[in-house]
Amino acid sequence: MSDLLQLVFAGLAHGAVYGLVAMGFVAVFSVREIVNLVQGEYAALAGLSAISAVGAGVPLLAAVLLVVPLVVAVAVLLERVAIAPVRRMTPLVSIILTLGLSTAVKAAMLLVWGPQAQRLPPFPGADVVVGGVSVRAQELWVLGVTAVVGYGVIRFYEYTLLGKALRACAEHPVAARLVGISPRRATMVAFMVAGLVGAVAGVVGSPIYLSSWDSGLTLGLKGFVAATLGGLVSLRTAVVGGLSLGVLENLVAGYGSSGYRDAVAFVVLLLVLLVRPRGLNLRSSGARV
Amino acid sequence: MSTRLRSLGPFALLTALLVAFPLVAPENLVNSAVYAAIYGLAAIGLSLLMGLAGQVSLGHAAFFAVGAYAQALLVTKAGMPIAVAALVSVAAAMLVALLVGLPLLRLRGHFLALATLGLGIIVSVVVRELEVTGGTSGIFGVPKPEFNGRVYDTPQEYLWLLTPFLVLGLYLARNLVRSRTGRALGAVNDSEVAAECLGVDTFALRLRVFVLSAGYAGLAGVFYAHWISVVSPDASGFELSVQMLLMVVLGGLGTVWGAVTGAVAVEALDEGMRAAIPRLVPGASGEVQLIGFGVVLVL
Repeated sequence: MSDLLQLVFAGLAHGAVYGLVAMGFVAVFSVREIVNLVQGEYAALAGLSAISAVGAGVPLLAAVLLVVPLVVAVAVLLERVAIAPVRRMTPLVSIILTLGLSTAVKAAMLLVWGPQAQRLPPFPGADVVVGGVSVRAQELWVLGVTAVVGYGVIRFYEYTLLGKALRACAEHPVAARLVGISPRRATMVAFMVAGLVGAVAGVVGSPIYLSSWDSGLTLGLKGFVAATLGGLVSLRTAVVGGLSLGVLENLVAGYGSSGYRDAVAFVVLLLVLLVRPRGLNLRSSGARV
Repeated sequence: MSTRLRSLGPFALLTALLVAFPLVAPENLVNSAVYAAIYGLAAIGLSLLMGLAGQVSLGHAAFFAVGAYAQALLVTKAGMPIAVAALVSVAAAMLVALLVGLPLLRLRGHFLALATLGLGIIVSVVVRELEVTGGTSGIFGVPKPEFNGRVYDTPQEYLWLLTPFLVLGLYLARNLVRSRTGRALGAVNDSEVAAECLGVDTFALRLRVFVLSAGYAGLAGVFYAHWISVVSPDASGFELSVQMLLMVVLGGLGTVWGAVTGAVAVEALDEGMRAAIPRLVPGASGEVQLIGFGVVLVL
């Protein structure tokens, strides 16, 4: 029993990181209908930059606070340079474009940081044992930070004027313009949010996973799977999807074969696409297919 | 008749080029040409899918791997004759595409791309984990093909063996683009609603092109298996899928000839990079794509 609890809890911590990344996908897709394949790279970039900053003697928390805005700036820059100038954004173009961007970012990280995977030192706090389940302080940090950031982003999208403006752009770009909302600015803000959640996922996740130039790929893909659970438009389902995915993966790795761990997410992806492409969220309505 | 002959001109030229190339070029270049031809075959298929059906596959290496693994297993473990095994392997790749495409191609937009991405990763995990596919080390000792007592074991011979397949594959693809099917798909890309109103069965056409493109990738996988004689999980990697995508994009969307040019260009870049930065051999493909990316952006 305590085995099961242990697996589930560790899974939740992994899943929270997926959930954060998933929110990034949703943040962009619900505004611009772009599947932003750079999403995982934000996390890898944040993790690696934080490691370098700590290595240079910057205190851990300061490093984290320094790195997150930096990655947000990179996300916005990439959007300005590569995505904003495209006039006719079809799914084909957006996939090739973001895939190209992500590859370029990966190549740059490989050149700067080299091929070794590195680990950010864990955040302060003592590991505890609750009812036979040992809980690492880092896992509590991950869950706590995810809860705070997740709440903030959902609040922003659903209750603030700017957030509502963003969603209006997704609903009907022309109508949004008529009432004075700039779709260009909306896209930029969406990418800021995406960069923020990606960077946060990278810094809180790095002590658990390792960060390396290619760690963004699997992280991004799994976040994407979690986002599909919500049909790519629901922030809440994305977070819940991420958590469930993390738990499911850990159970498969714990009771089955750990080699199949990475396949779990994609089997789930195929099943979701086959059965309910607009997501598991019962309330979702808009036509996506 | 004369226009028909003239339209065959480029194919004759390509054939002549492929036949003559090994006679004049040094062996390492011919070796690269063999790889370019193998990946070129796969890229032709992908180019049909992207150019005609307007769909992206981010896991095309999955079909390549299915072809390569099936061939390796059938030849080394089941002792099947090479030609028969090749037919079965290509059919296997197409069957996988059919099973995946049947439910997914009804959806529009990003879904096929993402599902194929998932498929690619599942295939690469499965071949790494299963015992029958040899785990991480793969399947060894796929023999060089031998027909009528002639062994195709040098790059030169192998390129000649590949030539008819490449030219024929290209010819078929070109004809498909110009056929009724090709024009119907072009119409679908312009306006799906209009095309459907005129009686085009979008779903069936897309499915057919998807399965065909998997067949091309499967055939490329078969040739790959025999050429490097070891089939390892590398053949199913995401990197390879991206490389194929890059070939198609570099060559230009919508032209089957572009796929071949793209394959040559990517192979040349790959070789050049590998020579330039031996320090970063595992990351070499990343470097290639960095350059490719610049071109991708322009498109």
